Amino acid sequence: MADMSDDEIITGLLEGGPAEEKALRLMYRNNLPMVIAHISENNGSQEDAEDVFQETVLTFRDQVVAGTFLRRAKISTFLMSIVRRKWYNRLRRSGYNEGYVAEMKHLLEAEQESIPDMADPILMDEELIKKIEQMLLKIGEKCREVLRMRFWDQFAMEKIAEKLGYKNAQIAKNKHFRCIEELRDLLNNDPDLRNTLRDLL
Amino acid sequence: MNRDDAYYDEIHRYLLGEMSDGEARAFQSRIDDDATLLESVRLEEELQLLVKLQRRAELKQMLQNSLTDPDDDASAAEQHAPQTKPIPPKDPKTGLGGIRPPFWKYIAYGSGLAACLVAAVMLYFGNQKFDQEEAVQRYLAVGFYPIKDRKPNDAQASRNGYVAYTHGNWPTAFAQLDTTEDAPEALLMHGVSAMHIERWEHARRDFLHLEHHFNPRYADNANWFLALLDLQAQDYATCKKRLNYLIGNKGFQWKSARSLLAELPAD
Repeated sequence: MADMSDDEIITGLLEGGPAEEKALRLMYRNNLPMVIAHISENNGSQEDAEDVFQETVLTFRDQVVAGTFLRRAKISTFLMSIVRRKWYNRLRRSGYNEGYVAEMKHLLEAEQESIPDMADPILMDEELIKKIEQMLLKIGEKCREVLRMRFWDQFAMEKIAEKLGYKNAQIAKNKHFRCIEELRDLLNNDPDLRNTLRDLL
Repeated sequence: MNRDDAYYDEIHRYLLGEMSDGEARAFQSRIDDDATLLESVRLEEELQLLVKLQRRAELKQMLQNSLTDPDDDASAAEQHAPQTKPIPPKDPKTGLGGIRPPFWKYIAYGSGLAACLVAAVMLYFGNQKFDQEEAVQRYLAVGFYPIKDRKPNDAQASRNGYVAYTHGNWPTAFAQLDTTEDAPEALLMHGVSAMHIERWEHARRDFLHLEHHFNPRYADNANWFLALLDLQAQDYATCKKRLNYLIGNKGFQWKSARSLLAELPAD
């Protein structure tokens, strides 16, 4: 399996697009066996492990983009800390495995300084995702790309222009605002989806 | 940029945390005093959430698929790699050029002996393009069967071995895990650790034991790793038999088994 150093992973995550996807895949595939071992040992299934770890690498990505990953530990160690925290939260919510919960509480308190507090990601049902995807399909691929770069990757207009081969940031800005206006109209005409999104915020 | 765009640009910068502290505070007090602006901020926040949820779901699906598409990194890398060398056009006289292995030029221009040697090498290794060692490493990372009923084990060596295993410290895990206690999960971890440090015979012994002496739910797991060991030993026939067993039962990692089966050289 191909490998990447911690520096290369972080660069990939900040780069967005295919580089981000590659970094996420490698982190996921290289560390999943450890996660399965941990969660299997603590009343979880392989499916639980996969689900928790998918959320974990995405949470890690969010921290890198937000600049809150301080690099005090190796990425693999940090990922396992997030996994333990997430799994602890899930077990605690379900009132399961008191021994593990007590042990983890102690361990996580000791780790408190190294991992910022993290909200559990929003649970998404398939129907909601389908609805969102259908709406985004209506605005076209280029628009989806521009909006992803601005809101997910959090790129400045200069970088979006560079990535998409536009002459300058102003052209990217104009494109961005045309796209967002299109999406705004679509969302305004779908009060159900607006209410669902508002509840999630 | 027209006035509307400036208006929304300010909201986006606020929501994305791109404002200075002072700017953000001033903007927040404007929101508090202006119901129309508040409503606009809410709508833009919902739009951003919509885009983020879609990307998150897309990436989650990609991660899920990455377990059953072991080649995606290679293909993605190829797809995005810059083409550094243009493909040479065919030479009309010799008919050579284009996309072909570099040793072709030796066949064309070298001595008769070199040509014979290359031809012999090609004949001998013609069916060896599949890199079984690389495939073993690739598929080894797929994971293993969930163990739900492991009893707490106080033996220090087992505990150390387990910790080493969860940190990917394979040599220590291999040394510490006490397979003599015959706990299936210890055997499993010991076998996987042995594979990582290329102690193939140890690994084979662990998985054969696991396959025959424990609850049938471990059989799938053992079969998967034994298939990888057969692959490493280039025993493709036995490897295929085990993969077909997993695929037929829709057992552990059967989709990965199917992908691997498709990669194996023909009989």
